[in-house]
Amino acid sequence: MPVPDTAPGGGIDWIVSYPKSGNTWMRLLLTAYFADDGCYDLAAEVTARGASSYRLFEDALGISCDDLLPREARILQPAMYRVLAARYPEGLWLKVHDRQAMLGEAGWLFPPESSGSAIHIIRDPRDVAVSNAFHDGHRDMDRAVAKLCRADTMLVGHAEQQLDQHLGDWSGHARSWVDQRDVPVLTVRYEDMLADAAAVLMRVIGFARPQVAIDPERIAHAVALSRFDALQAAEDQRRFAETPDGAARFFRRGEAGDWRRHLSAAQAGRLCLQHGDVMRRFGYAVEA
Amino acid sequence: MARLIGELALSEGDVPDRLDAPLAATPVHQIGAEAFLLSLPMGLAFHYRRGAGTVFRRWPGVGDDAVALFFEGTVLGAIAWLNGFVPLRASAVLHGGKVHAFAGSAGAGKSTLAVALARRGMALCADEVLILDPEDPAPIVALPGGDRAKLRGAALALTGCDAGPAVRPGIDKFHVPDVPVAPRVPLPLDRLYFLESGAQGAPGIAAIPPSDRLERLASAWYRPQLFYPLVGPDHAFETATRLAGAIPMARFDRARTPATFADEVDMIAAHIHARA
Repeated sequence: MPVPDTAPGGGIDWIVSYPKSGNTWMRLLLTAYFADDGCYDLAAEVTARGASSYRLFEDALGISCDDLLPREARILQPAMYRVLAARYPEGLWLKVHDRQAMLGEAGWLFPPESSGSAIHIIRDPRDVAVSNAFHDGHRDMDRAVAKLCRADTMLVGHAEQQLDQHLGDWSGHARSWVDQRDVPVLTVRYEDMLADAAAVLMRVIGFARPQVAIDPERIAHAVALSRFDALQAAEDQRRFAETPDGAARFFRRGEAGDWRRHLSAAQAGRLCLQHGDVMRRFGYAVEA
Repeated sequence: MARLIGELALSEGDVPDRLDAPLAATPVHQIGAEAFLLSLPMGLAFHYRRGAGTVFRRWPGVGDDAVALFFEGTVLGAIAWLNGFVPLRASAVLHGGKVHAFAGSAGAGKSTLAVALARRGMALCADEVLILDPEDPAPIVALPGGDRAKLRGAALALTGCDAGPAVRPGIDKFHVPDVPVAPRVPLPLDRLYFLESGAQGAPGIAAIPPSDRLERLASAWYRPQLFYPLVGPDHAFETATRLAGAIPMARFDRARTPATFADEVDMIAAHIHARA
């Protein structure tokens, strides 16, 4: 289910990130802010679908993803988003892990004419690697580091009823969004969300919904409801549906700098060597 | 139902690029009051007209498997809606002269359960689409789809079935050989089960109260985006209300793990046997 949105707007607002960079947290903040009763059910929210949901695809286009080859479904994705943008003229938020891509005659994967904005969440790639290692259940840091360095990294989704998502490497993913000029992009850092979630949430709503008069009380309530310890407590009560098999929990630590406990100097160095340019661009210290 | 069966003729030929005055259109399909057009990215297109059947056109290299797959799915659903029938996204088996159907979200295990029951002596009525006749409400009549069982690789392992040919080359979904299939003749619908996992804790089967049936039924409609433009919201609501009042429904809640699968099949099989 898309994040509810009663605000005026238009087009789809993409909540974009490499996996394990704060995308779910941002969706929960927005859900809590825009929910009619200022509240949400975490168990219900985890059924929220992203832009790669089979069901969203089938609802929009009336054909089954199961019957298509991955490349056939991918070519139809822009058409799916055009249908959805027309169907939800009041605006729609969708989660995205794909990199933005040009698909030849089909145009941009996430079509600018169907887009409102892209909220791009970025996180220190060293922490992203560690979080991915736990989320994917293998805890193999070499493997997680390699995932962020490969140009062909994908999330193969059919077991979870999702279209394949083409991530690429961490730097390429970020550049695909921040260096294109056709969809307005606001980049927010996960570390800034940790430091002042209220300020980041106000920036995000102000960017994506400039018509909305931001209510500070609702912001404070949304932030309180979505604190990491509150999400962990809710997850203790009921397993989060997005938690993959093999992972102990979805909301594990959520802190900045956890990589120092898990990555060797060589592993951190590999990420800095490959991604140093983009890391510096977004204020991450690159250590030799 | 005989009228619907007469609409299922399929032949190869020319297909128009668009319909005249469609009621709804996406880049993939168009639907009008009397016709349906489906255009797929691999170069396969279907054109159905009431009274004339369906014509398909394909690029070289598109096999009969792809033609059958889409005809038995989206095209069949459109034909049903255009002729006043209601297609459900459901699998179904035949036992005791009645149809027992299984609905649920994508990936809920509808086909897997139907195949498992077929291996215990019931005949497969539907793998993906079950068509209902809303005109005669007591009991509601279903038309078995006549389609073959299809399962993903993991579901084949779960049910102990061998893999037949892939539904299309490159897709991890296979026809299942040696599954008995019910004939395409109208049969009474006994019950519609909604497959869930973990919603009420312990596995079990519980009746769905009448107050919840309308919403449940609407969730099981197959390709409703084709139906709403055809009839409008009032008629859609009236159809759903009539059917919801006439179809017994139950919730089948399962742990849905490989270790519990056989016990859960036993449970639903016993429930079906008890009703026969």
